[in-house]
Amino acid sequence: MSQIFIENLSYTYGNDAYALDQVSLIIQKGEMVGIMGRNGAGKSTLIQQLNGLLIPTSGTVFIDGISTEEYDPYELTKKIGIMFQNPEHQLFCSSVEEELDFSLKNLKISKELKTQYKKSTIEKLELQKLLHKSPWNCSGGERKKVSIACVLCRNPDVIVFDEPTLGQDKYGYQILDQILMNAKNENKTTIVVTHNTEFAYTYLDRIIVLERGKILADGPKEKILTNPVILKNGSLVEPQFSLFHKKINSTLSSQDILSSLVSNSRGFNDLTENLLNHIGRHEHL
Amino acid sequence: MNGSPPSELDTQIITKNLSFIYESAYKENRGEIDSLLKEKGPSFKDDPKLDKFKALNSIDLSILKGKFIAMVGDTGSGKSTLVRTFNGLIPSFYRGIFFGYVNVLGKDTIQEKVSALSQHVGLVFQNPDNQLVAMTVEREIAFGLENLGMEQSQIREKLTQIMEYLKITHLKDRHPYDLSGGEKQRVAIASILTLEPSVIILDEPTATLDPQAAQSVLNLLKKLNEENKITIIIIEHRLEVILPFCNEIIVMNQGNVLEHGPTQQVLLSSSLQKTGVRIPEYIQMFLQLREKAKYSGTIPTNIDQAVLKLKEWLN
Ligand SMILES: Nc1ncnc2c1ncn2[C@@H]1O[C@H](COP(=O)(O)OP(=O)(O)OP(=O)(O)O)[C@@H](O)[C@H]1O
Ligand SMILES: Nc1ncnc2c1ncn2[C@@H]1O[C@H](COP(=O)(O)OP(=O)(O)OP(=O)(O)O)[C@@H](O)[C@H]1O
Ligand SMILES: [Mg+2]
Ligand SMILES: [Mg+2]
Repeated sequence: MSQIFIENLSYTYGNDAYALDQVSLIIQKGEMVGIMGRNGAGKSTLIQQLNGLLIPTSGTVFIDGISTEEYDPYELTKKIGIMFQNPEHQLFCSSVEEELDFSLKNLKISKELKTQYKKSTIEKLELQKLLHKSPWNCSGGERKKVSIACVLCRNPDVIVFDEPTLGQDKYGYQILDQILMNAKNENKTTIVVTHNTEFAYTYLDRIIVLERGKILADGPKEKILTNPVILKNGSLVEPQFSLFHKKINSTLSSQDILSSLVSNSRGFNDLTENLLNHIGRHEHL
Repeated sequence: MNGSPPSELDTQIITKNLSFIYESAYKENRGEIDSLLKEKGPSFKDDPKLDKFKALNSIDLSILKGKFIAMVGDTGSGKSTLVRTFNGLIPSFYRGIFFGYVNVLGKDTIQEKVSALSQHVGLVFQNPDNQLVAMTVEREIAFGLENLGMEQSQIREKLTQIMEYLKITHLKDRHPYDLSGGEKQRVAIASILTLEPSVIILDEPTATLDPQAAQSVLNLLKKLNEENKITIIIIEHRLEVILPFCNEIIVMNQGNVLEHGPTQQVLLSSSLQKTGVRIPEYIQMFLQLREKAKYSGTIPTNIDQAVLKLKEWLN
């Protein structure tokens, strides 16, 4: 049984237009999925169907075999943790700590476990300094972290992040990387909606591209994010290394040393090493 | 970089010894701050003990007309706070303790109304929700133009143009709140761009725009910058997106400006490495080649250049 099975899902916000139009989709437990695509394509609408926040206009969303419309709301929101695109829609307490307490409040687990979840979340997201601050007085990136924390502290089976990289510096990326790695190790499903090409290419596995409420493409990131037709129609751009690779190949013959160094590298870091080795060898000759 | 120093006229934004403590930071630490004031008198404002409460800490900056500036720095380093001082939102709307001086287009911001400053300094917020007020997308964009007293026919023309360019024409009768995140961002950007203020500031616009929309917004800004000498300041965590466009970088660190200079200079200095700013991998590659393999050319700022420079160097 697949963990998420979406069948002929359509959704309209009440106007003539369909924000989602006959979407069918399977996501297996443990997958790391990116959802990308044009502004207004339906990404945020799609993920809000997963925990029953939005109910299909037609079609069905099955989570572990049960339709979201038949779930006990508690069970569903416990299973699926969603961080919204705009953290302000999610935060309303007067301090970051209260925000975490609130997220844990109705969770039916022991007090000890709650304390443990809270503590480990604070550590993971490095929130120690912000605990007594109001979420409203946080910077954009700090607020993102707080809303990520509110989702993670409940230890959901499926983690869904809508634009997690806003406001994140190098350390924020390290934290996100860690969260994704942990999820992978625990065989948890992660779904990330993002416009951040480099992030998607580095950290995610499978990319689903939405366009006008339909699935435009779905597959491994290496295939999707380098396909010119998908990129064009999905309003995406190519990751920098892959673009670099193509441009090198199109201007040099494959016998050329640079071309072969690039072809044998997985990314710029790899290439740097290969270049330095190559140059080192030649200096010794 | 060479020639005579810039004249006062070319300088659009000047800050002198600018510091700011948000009201909430003051309230939480009132005891400590008040006793420092008692002990030191007015000079308490430069006491290092006050540093940890300051969102901005003694910033001296001058921004010249016609620059295209990327402002980068760690999460919480003060970027959004700093740009709020450029249109007077600080100290007029955000309360707190304000030290020092900000001059924008020859005017002391403390003495100017935000509404007057906003005509010259357009700011697109990090979160577009906080910016949209009208009942329809079209009204939202027309609002500022009407305030400028522009004629209806001219307003029509401008509206049509910008909505076409940002591909939001089909949304014109919608309520701004019933839009996707990036659609809202496009509307917020449109409503500022049509006003053609002398300075346009965007706070991390690319996080909500799809990658191609981000490119077309940046292209439009570059055009406004080159043709109309509009100064552009973009706060951005993704250097890879902004480097092909900017000619200067401001590096913020813990409420300070760590460095402000031409793109090449900043890339070659070590200030970025001292912060949590992510340096694009291809830039890191060239920096490594400089350090370890005697690469002596400039650092490329886009992939085409990177291809060319690497080919040139290896031959
Ligand atoms: N309204 C506010 N009230 C109190 N403190 C604030 C407020 N806004 C920001 N701060 C604090 O001031 C500091 C600077 O925040 P600012 O929003 O300027 O950071 P930033 O550089 O824009 O970060 P980001 O990249 O995360 O958006 C942070 O420590 C933040 O917590
Ligand atoms: N509350 C709402 N009321 C009416 N229409 C809406 C509402 N929210 C979104 N829409 C519309 O539904 C469609 C899908 O929106 P959605 O928010 O899912 O897009 P998205 O892919 O997340 O875009 P973005 O990248 O801009 O966040 C868009 O056409 C949008 O205008
Ligand atoms: Mg969205
Ligand atoms: Mg900010």
